[in-house]
Formats: sequence, structure tokens, C-alpha cells
Amino acid sequence: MAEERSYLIMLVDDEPDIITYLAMILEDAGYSTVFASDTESALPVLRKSKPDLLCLDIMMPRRSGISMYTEIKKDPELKDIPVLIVSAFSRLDDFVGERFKRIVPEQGVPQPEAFIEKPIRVETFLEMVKSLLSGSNAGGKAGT
Amino acid sequence: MTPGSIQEWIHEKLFHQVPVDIAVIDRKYRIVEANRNFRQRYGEWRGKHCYEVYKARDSRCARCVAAKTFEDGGVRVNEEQGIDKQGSKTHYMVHLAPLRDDSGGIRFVIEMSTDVTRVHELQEQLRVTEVEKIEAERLAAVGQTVAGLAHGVKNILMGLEGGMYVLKSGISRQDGNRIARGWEMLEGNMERISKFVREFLDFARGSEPSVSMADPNELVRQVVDLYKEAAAKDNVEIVARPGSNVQPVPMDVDGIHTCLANLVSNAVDACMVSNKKTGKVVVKTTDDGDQLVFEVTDDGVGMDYDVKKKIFTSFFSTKAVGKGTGLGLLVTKRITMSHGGRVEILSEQGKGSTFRLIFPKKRLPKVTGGQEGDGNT
Ligand SMILES: Nc1ncnc2c1ncn2[C@@H]1O[C@H](COP(=O)(O)OP(=O)(O)OP(=O)(O)O)[C@@H](O)[C@H]1O
Ligand SMILES: [Mg+2]
Repeated sequence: MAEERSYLIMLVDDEPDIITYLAMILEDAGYSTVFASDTESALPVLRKSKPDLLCLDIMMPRRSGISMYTEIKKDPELKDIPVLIVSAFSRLDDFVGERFKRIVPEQGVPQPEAFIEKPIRVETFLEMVKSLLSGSNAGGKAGT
Repeated sequence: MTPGSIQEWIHEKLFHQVPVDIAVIDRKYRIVEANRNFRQRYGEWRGKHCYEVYKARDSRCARCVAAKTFEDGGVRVNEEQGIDKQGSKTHYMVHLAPLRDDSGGIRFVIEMSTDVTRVHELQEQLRVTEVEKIEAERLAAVGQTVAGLAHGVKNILMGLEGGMYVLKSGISRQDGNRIARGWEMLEGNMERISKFVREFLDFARGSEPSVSMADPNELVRQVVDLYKEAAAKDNVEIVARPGSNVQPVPMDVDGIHTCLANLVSNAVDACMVSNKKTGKVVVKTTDDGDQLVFEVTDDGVGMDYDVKKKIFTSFFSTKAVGKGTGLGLLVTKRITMSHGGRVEILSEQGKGSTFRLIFPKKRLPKVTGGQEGDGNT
């Protein structure tokens, strides 16, 4: 029954094409989406809509996705939202990887729930989304 | 100590044990006395001419300093190259002093040489290391290029694949809006990739530097004039602060112009996206005699750690799609490095940034002579 509920997924990316692409994939798979194209406008949307999952790009204008990530994970209201990092950097890329490795001890923040590298494979992306939603949702706000 | 023992001491300790090679020559340039160190370095000297022993020559040196000292009694210091008893080249500093007899005539000249071969080797090594360092810096820039290229291309690929997805699903659903949007995405990203490739090829090719003497302040004025008007329309003021003792230096004028233009245009962009109503960009030069510095300061958005770390990567841009290619700073760094310089950045998020191009004058390139470019790439 919980399967029938339309999960809400938030997309944050500065490229409109990428938002369109991800949003269509997700909507075609039966999810609802909200989006923001920079970190500044993303936070209010996030607080208001409390999505079940956040897909976050790293390299964006003004503030990077990494600093937005740490802010979310420090916020008691938002910290349980699972985060999928969608970036053209690979997970093992020394830049992103090393940054995230440092965030844990420096900021007392956990690692992101998952990473996926651009360009994505649609099936892999959907599988990740599904498993992240089922993982986090078990005790959360499932009972709709 | 008896006078005899003092004399012995002087001869034994001073003459033989000082870490200097000492030889005494007569007016026929024959060595009449030498210490142990001298003998150790140059071998048997008895009955030989100085030029035979020091330099393995069979006639006098063209510019013989000892001759001058015999002539005028002056004390001289000279740097010479010789050949030791093993046949290896030596570099030595030689002090020459006349030895006068009771009547004041100069019968002998004493030559005290300090070996500076090692110093020469070190100097040479230092020079080589500098060259290698510049080379290593160049390679590092190329490495970053590959990583940056990958990042840029992956983003475009995702846009292309997205366009395909949207177009295909539009066709299968007969959804005209989707078809149109998919088509638009494909077109946009095709354009992006061809622009990227073009710019990357330009970048990879680089241009032949042609180095001439130029006034850094004049360059600053030119670049400021170039951007001033357009920036003023966006409420960004650009000010030139040419340093008073800045001297003309050898530079690839077009290259440095490109660097300054990149920094100024970035600074103006940074002011425009900031929340402040007006912005200010200051372009400064300073010259402390050893270093020439160009400095571009803005009070724009500044950068956070992540952005700062990535700015020299090719195709890294935080600007709107189609606005920034993300090559500006990489090109700037490359040109600066090819002048033996470096780029320094100070930036605080929300407050602004300062970019400095620092050129140690010793490392600046040589003026390229004639039409033959030196083929540097
Ligand atoms: N003065 C500055 N203040 C704030 N951010 C800056 C500044 N200069 C550069 N940046 C950041 O560094 C990035 C890379 O700059 P770079 O000049 O290499 O590329 P670009 O300006 O985005 O594109 P272009 O290739 O057209 O110059 C910029 O997108 C911006 O995020
Ligand atoms: Mg730029």
C-alpha cells in the first residue's frame, strides 16, 4: 500500500536540461518532483516540501552542493532526508571523494547515502532511488 | 715557542694546512713553492710553469693576471677555470698578491686559490631545477586539463542523453511538448559540445608566444579601458592603480593581456551576481625590484572552498550554461606559468576576491629575436 503513495523527490542542479531529464525519468516512474536550480533557493523549498529524497549536484553557482549538504545534515529537521549526489565527478574522484571524507570528521556529518556519476544510466538511477526510498522510509513518514 | 718553531708552525700549519691551494711563481711563471693542498689537487709542480700545472697548457694564458700583478704590484681576485691532476675541470677563485724583496721589487707573486667547483655545480643544479620546475608546473596544468575536460564532457553527455530520452519518450507517447523539449535539449547540447571542442582545440594549440619589452602599466590601462564602459552600465566601477616604479619587462604582450582580461571579466561577473547594488574592481601593479605583481581585486560574491579548489580546472564554471566556458583561469595560469610566474588567490565568500599574478623578474622569458619563434608550446 505504501508503494502506491507518490514519493516526493527534490532535484537540485544548475542545468535546466538535467533537471528536465531527471524529472521526466522520475515522473515516468511514478514519482513526484520539485526542483531548484541553485543552493540558495533550494533550502526554503526543501524545508517547505520535506521531500523523501534529495538528488544534489556538486558544482553550482555561488555555493557548492557540498556546503548545502553539510547544512542539511546539521539541521535536525532535514538530516533524515536521504541524499543522492549526482555529479560529473566520480565517487572516487579525489576532489569530491576527499572532500566528503573530510566533512565527516570536520563537520560531524555523515557521508551521503549514495553517489551517482553523470551521465547516469536510467536503470541504475531508478534502482538507487528505489532502494534509498525503501531504506529510509521504513520508520519515517510512510504511513500515508 | 722559539722563533724557529714559530716559523715552522707558520710553514707547517698555515702554509700547508689552510684549506686553500697556494703557489708562488716567479717572473718566468715557474712555480717555486706550493703547499700540500695545491699538490694534492694539481699534482707535481716542481720545475713546471703555472699554466702547465693549473690549466694543462703549454703556453701562457692570453689574459694572465699574474703578469699584471708583476707589473703594478696590485692585489687581484679572479675567477678561473683549471684542470686538476685527474683531468677534471675545476673552478677556482684566485687571490694574487705580490711578494716584494727588500728593495721593493716584485720577484714573486703568490696565488691563493679556493676551489668553487661545488658552488658552480650547485648553481647549475639550481638553474636546472628552476627549468624542471617550470616544466613540472606545465605538466600539472595539462593533467588538470584532462580531468576538467572529462568533467565538462560528462555534463554535456548527460544533456545529450537527456535530450534523447525526452525526445524518444515524446515520440512513443505522441506528446508534442516532449518532442519539442527533447529536440531543444539535443540542439542546445550539440552546440555546447562543438563550442567546447573548438575552444579546447584553441586552448590545446596555444599560441606562439612572442616576447617583447612592454610596460605593465600600459597593459593595465588598455584592459581597464576595454571593460570600463560596459561594466559601468552594470554599476561596476573599474579602477586602474598603476604602480609608480613599475619598469618595462619582457613579456608576451598578447598573453598577459589575455590574463588580465580574464581576471577583470571574472571580477566584473563576480560583482554582478553579488547582492550589493554596486561593485568595484581595482587593477593594480607593483614592482619591488625582484617581483612584478598584477593584482585584480573585486568586492563581488567571493568563492567557497569547493569552488576555489576547482577554478583552475578546464571547463569548470559556475556561470550560466553558455555564459562561462571555464577556461579563463586555466589559460591565465598557463600563460602566467610560461612567464615563470604564479597565480595567487585570496577570496572570501560574500566579500570578494583578489587574484594576483606574481612574476619573479629573474624568471621572465627572453625577448624573442627576429621572426624565428622559439616554438614553445
Ligand atoms: N573574481 C571572482 N570571484 C568569484 N568567483 C570567481 C572569480 N573568478 C573566477 N571565479 C570562479 O571561477 C570559475 C572559473 O573561472 P574561469 O574564468 O576559469 O571560467 P568562467 O569565467 O566561468 O568561464 P570563461 O571560460 O568564459 O572565462 C568561475 O565560473 C567562477 O565560479
Ligand atoms: Mg572567466
